[in-house]
Amino acid sequence: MIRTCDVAIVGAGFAGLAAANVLARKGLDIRVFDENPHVGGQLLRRPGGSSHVPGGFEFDGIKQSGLRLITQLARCGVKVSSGTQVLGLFPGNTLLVEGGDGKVSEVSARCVLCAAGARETYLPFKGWTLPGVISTGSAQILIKSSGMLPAKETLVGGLGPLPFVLAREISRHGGKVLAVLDYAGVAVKIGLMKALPRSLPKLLDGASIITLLTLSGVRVRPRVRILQARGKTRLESVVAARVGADGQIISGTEFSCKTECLAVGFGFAPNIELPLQAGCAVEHLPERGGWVVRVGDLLETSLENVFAAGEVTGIAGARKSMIEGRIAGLAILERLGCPVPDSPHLLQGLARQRLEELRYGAILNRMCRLPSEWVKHIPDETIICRCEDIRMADIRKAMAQGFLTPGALRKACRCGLGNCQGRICSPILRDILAAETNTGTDRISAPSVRPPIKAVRLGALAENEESVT
Amino acid sequence: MRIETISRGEQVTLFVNGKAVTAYRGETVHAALLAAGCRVLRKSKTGAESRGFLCGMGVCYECLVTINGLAGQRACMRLVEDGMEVQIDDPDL
Amino acid sequence: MARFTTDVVVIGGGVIGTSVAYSLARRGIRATLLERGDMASGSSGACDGLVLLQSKKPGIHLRLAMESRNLFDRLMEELPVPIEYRRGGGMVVIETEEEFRAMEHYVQEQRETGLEVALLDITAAKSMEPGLSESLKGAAFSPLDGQVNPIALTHGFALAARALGARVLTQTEVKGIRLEAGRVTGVETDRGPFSAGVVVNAAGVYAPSVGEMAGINVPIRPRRGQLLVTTATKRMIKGGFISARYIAAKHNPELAKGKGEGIAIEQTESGNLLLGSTREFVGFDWRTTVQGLRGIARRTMAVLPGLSDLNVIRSFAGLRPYTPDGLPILGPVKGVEGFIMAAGHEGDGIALSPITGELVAQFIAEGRTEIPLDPFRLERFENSLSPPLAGYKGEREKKAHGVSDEN
Repeated sequence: MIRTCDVAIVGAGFAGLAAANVLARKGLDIRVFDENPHVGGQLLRRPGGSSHVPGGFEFDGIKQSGLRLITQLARCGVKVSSGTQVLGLFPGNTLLVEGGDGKVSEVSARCVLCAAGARETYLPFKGWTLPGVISTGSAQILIKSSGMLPAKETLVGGLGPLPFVLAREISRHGGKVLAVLDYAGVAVKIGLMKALPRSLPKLLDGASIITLLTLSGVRVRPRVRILQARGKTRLESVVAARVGADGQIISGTEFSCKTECLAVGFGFAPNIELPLQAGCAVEHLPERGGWVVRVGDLLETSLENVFAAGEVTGIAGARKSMIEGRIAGLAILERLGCPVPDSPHLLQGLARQRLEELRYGAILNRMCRLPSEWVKHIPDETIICRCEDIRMADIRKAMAQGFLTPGALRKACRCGLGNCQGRICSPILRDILAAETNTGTDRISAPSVRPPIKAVRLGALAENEESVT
Repeated sequence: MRIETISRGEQVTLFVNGKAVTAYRGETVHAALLAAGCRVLRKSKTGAESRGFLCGMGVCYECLVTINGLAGQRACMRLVEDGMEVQIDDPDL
Repeated sequence: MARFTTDVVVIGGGVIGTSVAYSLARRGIRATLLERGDMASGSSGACDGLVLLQSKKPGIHLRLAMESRNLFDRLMEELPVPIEYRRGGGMVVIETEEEFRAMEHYVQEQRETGLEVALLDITAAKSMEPGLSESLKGAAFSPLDGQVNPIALTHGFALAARALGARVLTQTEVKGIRLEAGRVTGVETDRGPFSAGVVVNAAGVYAPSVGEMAGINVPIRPRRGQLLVTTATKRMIKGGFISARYIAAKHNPELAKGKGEGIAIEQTESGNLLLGSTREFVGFDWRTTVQGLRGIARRTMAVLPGLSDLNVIRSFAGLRPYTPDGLPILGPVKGVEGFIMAAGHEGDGIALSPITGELVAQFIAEGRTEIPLDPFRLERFENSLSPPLAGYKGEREKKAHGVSDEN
């Protein structure tokens, strides 16, 4: 038995919540699905799901708006199914869903909105698989959702704003940041700041973070690379070195830092697995963070009645996600025959705001890119596919044998065939192939994605009982 | 380590490899394990390496532990429950 | 663009094409293998690796399978990639009393042809494979059945062929076949022309398109089989499993009607369980479906209930090259000199790839084969030739539904 609804929204972050709020109270049956235990996605996290937000400064305005979305939605009676994984989207707009109770069912919707957000990307270094090496996102989640510091003393590193934002967050809560190892440099940031006067307020936020960090005694070390995470069964120390303007390690500048926790942040990859599996067209846009879902102005994908909003259409932060959620909501209302009265006017305004945010996003994404040659320096023994224990040496050997596409490497090495379904290693492999074959990353094919897009118990798939979501 | 200034939900007890561990409602199993000093969770596929937490958001499938007898559970995606039994492979424990 | 000359062009970089290239290279014959995507990007990269004798009809089909199976040990030594061939035995799982009765006849017939196979009741079957469900009626077991890694096998053939002097080209699509006075003179590709006196059509489900390029009608249709992949786990089953349903149907055709699909299960060297299958005529649709996923899950649980807590992490679908009589199409084609068929193995491609390569290479080298090819020739079907068209360029079947050459 397939249950039906008017609109199914996958993802209860900024985009999904904004859309749900637009769609609410119009007499439509709306379902919102989110895999996390709490509503709000990655950015709207509060300890134990409470409505209290610890004070901060940057992004606070947008966070308050986001929290209002949650409370408003609750008042409208729109149910969010938390702890619910969407396993696939099939012809007829049928979603295969695993509920919080572990039971699998099918839900058919007249319109579907894909808003699954983004995940972090990683630049592997020797020893990055040691327990104690975590992502900046992981540390943020610990702090915001569970009120916990990742360690007594944390070393932070990476590219773009993530490491700085985390360092600030740790300091604010009384934790110690040993240093921030910045892969780029202050010069890069100043250069980017000049690029867009309108985004100055946001970029000034960035500058003030650095200032505050320095004032609170956190050492920021620009233009470094992490060479190795060392330890026997867990992280004990990190070795890094400075790089020159050409990205080459400057020998003799190696330094070591004792730590049990290293939080690294580089960039983001849009979670486009569901639209890809469903057959939506995707495109590679470096200014949007790589492979994104192709959408029209009203955010409909190449599949009829399937829409996409938020980071999946391009990495650009919370504000764009919220704007796109609204656009998608309005577009879906029109499609279902109950448009909002001044819809065209609203959409015009939102379209303008969206363009603004996309420009900001382009800067962000440029900040998070290293030239693809960086992969050439990855040592042979570095693990690339963590799930299957595949090392750089295995990949180099396969490439030398002529396996030069993502699919060929997957077949030859097994990279991407593990539990994470290639989410961690695919972006890395793309950079490796691009560098090795001297091809632009846009010419490296996007992966083909099959259901289930998240792991699910065989027994759950087999059962006939319906999930009570 | 828990941030003192944050107010928490009610206290619950987990059993990690049989040992009682304090946690608070609203925390993830990831957080509770970390607070109890467990960073090493299992061995990698070929057994060559130790593994622990990485992404914290359910993407990487590194933080797999057994919860109430069911293996392959992502600790970062589960909230603690009173009496929950968690099995991990940490050789340091 | 450069003009290449070679003795034999092999079209198709799946397990059959690469096996042919390898067998040719071993005989010192210059071969060029042309694959439009990646190696094993078609059916050979989207199947299970079962190498079964029990499922083969006694007669020429079984003989072919037995000869092929005997070659695997040699291949384990010769190929530069671990092909993970093992003889863990095979269980033909019996679910109903009627199936059991039909299997009694079938097993008897098999034993008469010399196949080592025994019919077991459920207690005996469970003593060998404890995971089997109590509610099954029994199983037919043969220790001769085994499994291999199909992708590793394909890669192994290709790399070994190349090491022996074959040219192996991927991302190279054949667009047309050159004919002069009823003889093959070469092929046209998107990388330029290749001159050759012999062309082997090893294009699997795309063999009809290739045949069209030479004015030949090849009656192969794609038949989809879906598979689920579980996370890697400790060894849970020793050998492969298939359902008696279809095998028993060879004796009692009633049994195959309206009963839906059967199972095909193996656990690979890396510890993942491959759970299949379906048999669907859906054209060139490589997608998996909700019905496929849930149906396979249900049928698997009915046979091996202990797998219920395993996570399913992937699915894929392969298109089996189906022929009207279930036998592959091998050998020369009357009226088109130099055009050799090597396709249509429907679900047996992996198991029959070693012998297929050897027979085709033997025919090309010597003009004769150890096992006569007459039962496999294209001429056994009517209307195998459309009016010969010199230099005909056919339309390739495109892969449907935006699937890239990855599975």
